[in-house]
Amino acid sequence: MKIQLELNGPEPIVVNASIPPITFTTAGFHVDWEPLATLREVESQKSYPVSTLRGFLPRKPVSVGEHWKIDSESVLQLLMQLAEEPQLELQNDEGGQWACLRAQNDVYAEVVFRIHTEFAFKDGTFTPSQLAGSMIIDRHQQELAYFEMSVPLGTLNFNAHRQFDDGLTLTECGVCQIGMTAGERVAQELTYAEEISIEEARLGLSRRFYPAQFIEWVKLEEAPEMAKLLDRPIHVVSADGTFMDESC
Amino acid sequence: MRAGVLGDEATIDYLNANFVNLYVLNLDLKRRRDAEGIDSVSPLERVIIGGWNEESPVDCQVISNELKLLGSLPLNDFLGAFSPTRAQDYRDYLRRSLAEASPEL
Repeated sequence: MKIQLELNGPEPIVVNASIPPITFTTAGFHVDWEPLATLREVESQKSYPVSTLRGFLPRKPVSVGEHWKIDSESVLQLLMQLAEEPQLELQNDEGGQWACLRAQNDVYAEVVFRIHTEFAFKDGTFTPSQLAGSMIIDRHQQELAYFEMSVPLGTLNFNAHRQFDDGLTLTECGVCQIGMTAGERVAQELTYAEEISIEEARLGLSRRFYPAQFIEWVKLEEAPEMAKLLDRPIHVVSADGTFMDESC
Repeated sequence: MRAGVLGDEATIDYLNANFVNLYVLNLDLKRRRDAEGIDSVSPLERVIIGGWNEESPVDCQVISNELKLLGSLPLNDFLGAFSPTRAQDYRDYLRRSLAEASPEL
């Protein structure tokens, strides 16, 4: 069933943002490179008009599992709470911002989204693996119930390019914790009339960015047994950088 | 790579039809190996680590279901030489490894 997602009040929407100090990079950029050593949110709390968050919603009715592109101006407005020069065009890969209706019932609708962005410094760039988020809309009140967006934790979850005066550029990866929230998490576990799993929703969004996500990847611990069961060899991509996001 | 050889539709179909596909982050394997020793990692991880090419940031390996290393392609070297048939070349690499895994085919 297609539903129209509406967001009309109340104003303003207060968004909290956080970037704690980075504590790990593979070669120490977080210690000896000033932009990374001092990377913090621009504003820890900021108010937005409802129209900013409305830009995350589709303009026409959508079904569960359907995708749409988020309004780039809305995304940039939010990202400027995190960094002074966020960009949606990446230097070395494809940027973009996509959302999906994950679930709905008569009262609530849940949207999940994925954003690729890059923060520009005067002598380099910082690229989070992705910004993964979700928002819950109260359909009766046409209000935002909850919003969250973060860089998912992982062994590595960002990439940084540092340019030196002699033209040399060095790249390394690390781990950051970047997050934004608004509203209150809905206390009870929501029961939806229609839904897809969060994993399916996230996989669908990742396929918008990477065709290689159409490969049926399995987990390390599952691979040997599955290879025996299917009588197939294992094809392994063994990489220094992460493969399914922008932290490589 | 993910937008190139592994983003190629024919290669994706070939991989899904003939292989169990696995991505691993080298840092995860190194951490486990260095913390607990090579004998403590799983047999599959041991084969992957044993198949790493020197100074290669990405290796594409084929391992039999008996956990024998059949091929380990240093991807940067492979991508370094321009080829208009790169995706086809990659499928050929997979086919050769597959033939070694199942000679009866």
